[in-house]
Amino acid sequence: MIHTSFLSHDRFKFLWVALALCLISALFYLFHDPKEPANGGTWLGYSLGTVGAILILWLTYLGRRKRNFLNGSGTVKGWVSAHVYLGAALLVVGTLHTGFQFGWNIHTVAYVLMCVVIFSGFYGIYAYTALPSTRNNLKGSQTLDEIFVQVEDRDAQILKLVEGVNSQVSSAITSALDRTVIGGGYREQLFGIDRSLAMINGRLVGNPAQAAILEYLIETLSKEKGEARERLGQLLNALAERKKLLDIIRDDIKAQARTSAWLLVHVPVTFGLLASLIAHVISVFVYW
Amino acid sequence: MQLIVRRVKKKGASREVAQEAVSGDLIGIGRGSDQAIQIADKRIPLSHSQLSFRNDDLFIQTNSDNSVLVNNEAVRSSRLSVNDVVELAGYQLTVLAGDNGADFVLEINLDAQEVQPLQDRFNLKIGDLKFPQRKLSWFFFLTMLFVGLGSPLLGYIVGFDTLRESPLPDDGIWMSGDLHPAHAFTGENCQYCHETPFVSVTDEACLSCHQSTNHHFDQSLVGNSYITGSACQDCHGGHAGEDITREDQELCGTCHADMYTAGYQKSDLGDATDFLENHPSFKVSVNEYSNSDGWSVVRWDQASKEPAVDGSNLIFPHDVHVNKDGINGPQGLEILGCNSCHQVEPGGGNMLDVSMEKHCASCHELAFDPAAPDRYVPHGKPEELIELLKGYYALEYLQGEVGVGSSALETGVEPRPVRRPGSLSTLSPLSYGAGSDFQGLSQEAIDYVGLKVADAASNLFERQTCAICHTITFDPSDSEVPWNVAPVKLTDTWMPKAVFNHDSHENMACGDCHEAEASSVATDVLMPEIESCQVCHGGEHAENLLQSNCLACHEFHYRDQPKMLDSFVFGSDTILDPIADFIQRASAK
Repeated sequence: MIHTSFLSHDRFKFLWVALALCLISALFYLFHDPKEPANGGTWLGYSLGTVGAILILWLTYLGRRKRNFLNGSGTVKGWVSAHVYLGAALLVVGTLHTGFQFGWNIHTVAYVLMCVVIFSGFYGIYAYTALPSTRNNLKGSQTLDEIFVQVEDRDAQILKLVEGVNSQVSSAITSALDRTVIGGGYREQLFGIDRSLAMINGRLVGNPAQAAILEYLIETLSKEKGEARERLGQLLNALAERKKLLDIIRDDIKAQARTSAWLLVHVPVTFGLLASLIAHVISVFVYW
Repeated sequence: MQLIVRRVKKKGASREVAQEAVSGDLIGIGRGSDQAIQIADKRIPLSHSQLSFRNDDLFIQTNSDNSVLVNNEAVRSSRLSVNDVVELAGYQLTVLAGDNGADFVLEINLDAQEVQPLQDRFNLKIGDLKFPQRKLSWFFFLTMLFVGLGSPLLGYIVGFDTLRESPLPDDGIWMSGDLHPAHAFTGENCQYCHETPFVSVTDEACLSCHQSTNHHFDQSLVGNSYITGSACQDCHGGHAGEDITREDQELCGTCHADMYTAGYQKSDLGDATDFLENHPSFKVSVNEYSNSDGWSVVRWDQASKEPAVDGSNLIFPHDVHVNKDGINGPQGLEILGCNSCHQVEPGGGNMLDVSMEKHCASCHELAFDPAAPDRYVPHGKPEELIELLKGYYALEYLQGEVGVGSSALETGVEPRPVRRPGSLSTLSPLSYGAGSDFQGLSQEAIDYVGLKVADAASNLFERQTCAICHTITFDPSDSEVPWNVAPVKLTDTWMPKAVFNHDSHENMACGDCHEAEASSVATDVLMPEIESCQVCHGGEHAENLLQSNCLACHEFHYRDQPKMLDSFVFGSDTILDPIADFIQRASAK
């Protein structure tokens, strides 16, 4: 394997570092016998809390640092690898720091925000490892731009073919082309929701996955004969090909959106976490 | 409304016309694919305006921020007549008279703009949506900082009560765990305990309520301070529900493992770290009596070679009383158990006091005259007994002379004649001194009473009743009351340094710990030795035994020690009084 991912970077060096950190924390927790209910205020609680807080600050810095491609020591892949594995280890360290005491307070808020950041990061790992190959499988060797050009080719073809058919059918088909919607807002991109419409028989109807126009055309086709039928058959073929291309585009947009959207949670919540961490640490000492 | 939309586009010299019929009460115009009249140009809003039809007239109404040119005048809404021209983003929409059943024809000139490439018409990436990531990050950061820290800290400026009444987040958000149920009354007022920011909870704060808390030991041993446990917080937490006291034997062991090295050179306590592994033998408090000094308490070490002597001044053989075959009582043979005399006090701690009246008198009747076996003296002082006897025999003398009436001592008792007066002649009568109650009686009567009282008293004090249990001394120089009963004191608490609960041990037999059946003298100490407890109890980490830490038997705050508050030097006089505060708040409700 020529390419090694950030997960297997440097023979899983940071995986071993993270596992060691988890194991040490867990062993300490198991053999620690606090004379009060386990909580963040025992000597082990303070120790795990300190390690956790340093990890949070360092991981936040790494999250930024790994974007400096050309600067300083290490490789981008190395930084990502460290960020991912130590971030996962933070879940163990942070949870043990709580001593499994939770409540409606700023301390638990900080913990929950930490979990949101870590789990959104876990989704990011999935997105970065699984989704690119999904996208490649979708498009074969083509780029998204090439597929768009193909769609436009089909559009031109369909617009020429449509000249010979009756005006009702032609306006329905051109409306379906005009009113094809690709992408859109967050929900449309993330869940592949298709808001395409078509004006069929003077009424605007939903046309997701071009189903309505294809169905209309098949119905019309079945009533026609001879040359008109042949022409409609050609149109149907072209529209079906166009639909296939649109499906690929939509799936690709969905995969791409999912690859990047988790960061919209991961990054802002990290800043919420940093603030709640500051509040957590200071408040503990205000009411010492 | 029926509308024909005709899209016109120049194509060389000719015109290309596309036509569609649109119907509806409201007809939308805009870029959006949901608009009935769609113009695919990104300069046009998704939803730009609406056409409506009222009283055979056509109207245009734009959405909020849009305006439109109608016949070269910018308007928000307008009535449209035939040949009116509407312009938006360079597109010309001409209103024409309707044909083929349509109310109007709307001709759209599409020459203004080429339709954009498909790819450019949509947002295809999350990045295209201009997510305000930086703003949102700042928002989260500042919000959390305000909610979690800034707002609660405002309490130091505006006052925490004011803050708690406001909708802003207060210091309640800092509460890390449940309060002890006994502390719940403090409500939200953290300042009762957390008086000064960044300063750990002080002993002053604790003692402001816990005023009756006792010291652990005599402060004169090491001055006025503790070595471990110098602060309440060393042993007591605050936010762990009911579980706020450290009870581990290791904590006690920090001093008790080696009292000398720990700095308590004056202590006579043995070192202890674990009840089973390392604990000194028990010491028992026994009473000692001397005529000159009276009572004193002596600590007797069960491991010492000297036998224990508990000086109660009573004569009491346990073995005779708990004999399995029974013991002779007035009603015949009686089988006594331990609980015939020893009953646990309510709460199960110590035993209730044993008393003559409750536990002994039913068998040990205080009869004084064999001729009157159903007459008793009360259990009291010798002087009182003599007085009572005098009265009894004086009356008997009188009744003997007159020979009538019923007993003056107790009703329902038959009067008895004087019998065998001659048998008293060997006794010298007791003298009662001049000016006594017998003034005016005949000498014969005085002699009679004196002899009878002397007979009955010597019988009581020397031979039968009192002498069975009491140590009696005789002082011939006292002609009125020559008998002395040695004072009696039963040990109340044998092991005052420990706490024991009899109720928790009720499934055991008394004899498992107290060897009463083998004890023939009252001076025996029947308290169990440590080995007896160690049959069941081990240390805190014992296996196969009851795990017992120091607090299973010992208190930290000893009840016989002075109160901490008395010797506490307060650093500030601004201390809150939570109890007074609480009562004020509760009564205000």
